[in-house]
Amino acid sequence: MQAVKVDKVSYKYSEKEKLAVDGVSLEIEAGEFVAVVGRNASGKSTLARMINGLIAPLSGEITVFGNNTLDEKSLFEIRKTCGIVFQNPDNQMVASIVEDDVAFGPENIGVSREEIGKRIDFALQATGTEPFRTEMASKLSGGQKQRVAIAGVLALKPKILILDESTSMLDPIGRAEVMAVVENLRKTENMTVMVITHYMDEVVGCDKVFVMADGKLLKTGTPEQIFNDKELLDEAGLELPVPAKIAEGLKRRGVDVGLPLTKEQLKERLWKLFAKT
Amino acid sequence: MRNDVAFGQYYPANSFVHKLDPRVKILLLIAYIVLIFVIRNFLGFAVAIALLALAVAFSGVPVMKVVKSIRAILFIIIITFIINLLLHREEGETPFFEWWIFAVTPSSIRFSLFMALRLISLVMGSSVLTLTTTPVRLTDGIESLLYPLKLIKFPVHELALVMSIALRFIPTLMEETERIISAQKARGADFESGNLFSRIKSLVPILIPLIVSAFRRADELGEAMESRCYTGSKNRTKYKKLTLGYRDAIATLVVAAAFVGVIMLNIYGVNVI
Repeated sequence: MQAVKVDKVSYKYSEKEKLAVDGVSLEIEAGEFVAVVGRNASGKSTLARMINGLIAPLSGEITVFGNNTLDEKSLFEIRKTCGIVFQNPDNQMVASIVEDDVAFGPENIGVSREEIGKRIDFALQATGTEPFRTEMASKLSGGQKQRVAIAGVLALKPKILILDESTSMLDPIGRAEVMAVVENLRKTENMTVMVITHYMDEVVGCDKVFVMADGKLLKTGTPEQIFNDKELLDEAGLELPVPAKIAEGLKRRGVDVGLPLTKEQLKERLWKLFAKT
Repeated sequence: MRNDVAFGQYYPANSFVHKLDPRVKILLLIAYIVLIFVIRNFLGFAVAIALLALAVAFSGVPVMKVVKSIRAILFIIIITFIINLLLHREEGETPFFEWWIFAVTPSSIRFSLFMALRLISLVMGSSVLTLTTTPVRLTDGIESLLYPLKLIKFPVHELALVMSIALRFIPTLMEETERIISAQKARGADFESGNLFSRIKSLVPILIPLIVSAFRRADELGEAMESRCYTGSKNRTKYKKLTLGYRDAIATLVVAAAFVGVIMLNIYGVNVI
């Protein structure tokens, strides 16, 4: 089943500016884990905001589970179906207390008090933020706050979760916490996840990667296809994931382990190499 | 700096005052403010302070946290005290001290102390409300109390939400202010020396980035709320229900008793102190 269909979509913020998104077309299947990568101002966040219906495309159209974002009447349904977590958790929390903030979304869609309670329980458990339920959100760490922000979106029971550079303000521990939550949601809820990121290590587990530059979609492919395309990496200003960088360093010193994208792959290939020698 | 601002910051606890209905707390605070402004003698203030002390004692909030709330308006209190001390005068009084239009008289001492005590009680009383009530409960309380205004299409929910968000963002903006001050200091800005005028002027490099940042945050928050299906008060449900209980009755009786006490002291004890 198709979750998102972006068809020849363009957008610009003002008449004088160039197109922020320029004729992009892509498709995301339900349950897929996809990443959108590219330099700053390549159009990634604009695309995410259009998918959520926060801004309407100037040309082309986007459908989310069949609902067109250009149809005003469908926007409420689209936002219920497609949750978006932004970069700065401080700027997306409405309430001071964790459970009050998580309740905000379900309250907006008018579900009963009992159902709100159940959704809070689910969202806090799924993000591992249950111990902070009655805590002040401002007292939490960056990673914890971002997990609460994800819980706030999860309480709407969306089918699609978009993380718009949601780990960019976090330290490595915070980033790992957030990505572990995403991984868990994919496994337990079969959620469609779209990650917009500058961290290539977050991309390696994806089913599909969309590479953007200057508002255009340069290439769609698996992480292996993307990271093996040196020209594309240069054009889009992308780095290799850390294990692949290590492998490149080893290759320069005469040790060829190919292009492992994860720590596990690198470890496995090194063991094999040691076993041979 | 963040820890110095108690006003607006909720203090999580499970006390008697925390459990009071927010509508009752708001109405009792209004009653308390009226009370401190009708007081006419120091014995009346003793009653008001005792009432405040009782509220703090039953709130589970550390006393110093409530006292610290005065810091934010200490400058205003001092200025008000000095102005009243030097300018207030009643007919036929012999001043202790007189120069040009300024004079210190027995009534000006009394009046300026009254004003200072009123301001202190006002801020501390309001702090007890915000320290013991989450912004969401406060919003719900205000919304419920202003419900009749909905009949004349007044945006009650929106107003209450704006207040709640303002309270929610106090710690965030304090943090931001700290960051901006540190950044400006690192670039050689001096906020501690010079006369009053130059000190005020030196605040400009703090205020401009702070305002810009506040606008940016407001924009992002608006988008985040929209993406979480916020469309106003229509068809919205509430997770936490407001209910009145025996605690609310006890608190109301205590404040009512204090009110009666102050009125009695006003009538029978005007000249006590």
